[in-house]
Amino acid sequence: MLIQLLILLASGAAGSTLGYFLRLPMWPITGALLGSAAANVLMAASITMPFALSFTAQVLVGTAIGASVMPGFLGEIRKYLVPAVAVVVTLVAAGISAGVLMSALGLLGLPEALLGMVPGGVGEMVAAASVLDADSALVAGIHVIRLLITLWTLPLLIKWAQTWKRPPLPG
Amino acid sequence: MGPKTPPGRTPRGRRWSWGGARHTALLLLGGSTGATVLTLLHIPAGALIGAVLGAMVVNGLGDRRVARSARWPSTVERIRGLPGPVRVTGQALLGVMAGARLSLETLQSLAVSALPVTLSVVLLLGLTMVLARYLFSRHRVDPLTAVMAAAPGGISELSVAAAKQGAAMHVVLTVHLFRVLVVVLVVLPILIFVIGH
Repeated sequence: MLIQLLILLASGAAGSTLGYFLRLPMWPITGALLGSAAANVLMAASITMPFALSFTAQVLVGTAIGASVMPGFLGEIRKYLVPAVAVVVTLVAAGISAGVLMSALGLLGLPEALLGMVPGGVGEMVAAASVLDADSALVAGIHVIRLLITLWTLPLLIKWAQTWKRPPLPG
Repeated sequence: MGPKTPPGRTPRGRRWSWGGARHTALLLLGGSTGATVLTLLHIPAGALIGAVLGAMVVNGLGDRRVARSARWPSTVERIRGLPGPVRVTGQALLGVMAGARLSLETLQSLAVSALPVTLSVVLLLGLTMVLARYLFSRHRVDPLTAVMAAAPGGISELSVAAAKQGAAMHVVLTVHLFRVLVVVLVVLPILIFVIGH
């Protein structure tokens, strides 16, 4: 059991490294996922992950978010509070609606649909999936689809936005 | 207008220092303490939420301590943030856990839902353009920054793209960090409660 766990961790590390060089989107998660999944299939193992591993992962990801709240963040958010709230509420509401719809249509389970469609950070939503014992691989897969489409279409959207003309200021 | 290092961003090119290592250890201690307390209190996703809050508290305390010692802001910037490898390790561990439970059923579900997920993302991107137009016309944000700030992408990927193209980084990162904090600290507990019932 311990040996199998170590093999999974080593394969995950190798997968992450490979993902970095192949420039996979979200390479730490996607690379490790593919690496450990390959090892899991080859070993034909069914390993229950120890609680400590899940706890450690959540602590590291959570600490990284908390640590990124830099000096000046509160001042900046006060300055941009209205637009930031508008953006976040709209995107989150749209994500939740899409998740509920997909679950209602029987395409995905409710936990996977909601955690997959809400545009939080990938790591955070995958961590939440593991807390709920939902299919975290499926949640990660959905987020990778979202990231890929977003990054691929962004140049086009920016080009479109740059054609916008600002109305002249009154007076 | 904004701080020298945009909020939500670990300064680039930071050299290793004892101060930085000590601050990293303090952040991890704060994160672990917060995670342990909320887990013991049986708060849903307590480890994740507790770690976020614990690290925020440590960052806030560090702020005041440095402010009292009246050092230069560059010192504050040097010791801030968590080194990339720490975050990467956490994400890789999550990847390993997800990979260990990847099954044929997961792949089938992903295949079945790929088209609806793609359609939803396209709709989300349509909303992004509506929001970007709103930021552009009502808040006089430039078009590039407006699209980057309203896009439903990951912070790290978007910040690299935004920096390359010359967007106002402090606006992009403020909105994205706010999104992640709202999702983790407000939306996630509600979702977990709803899903759990």
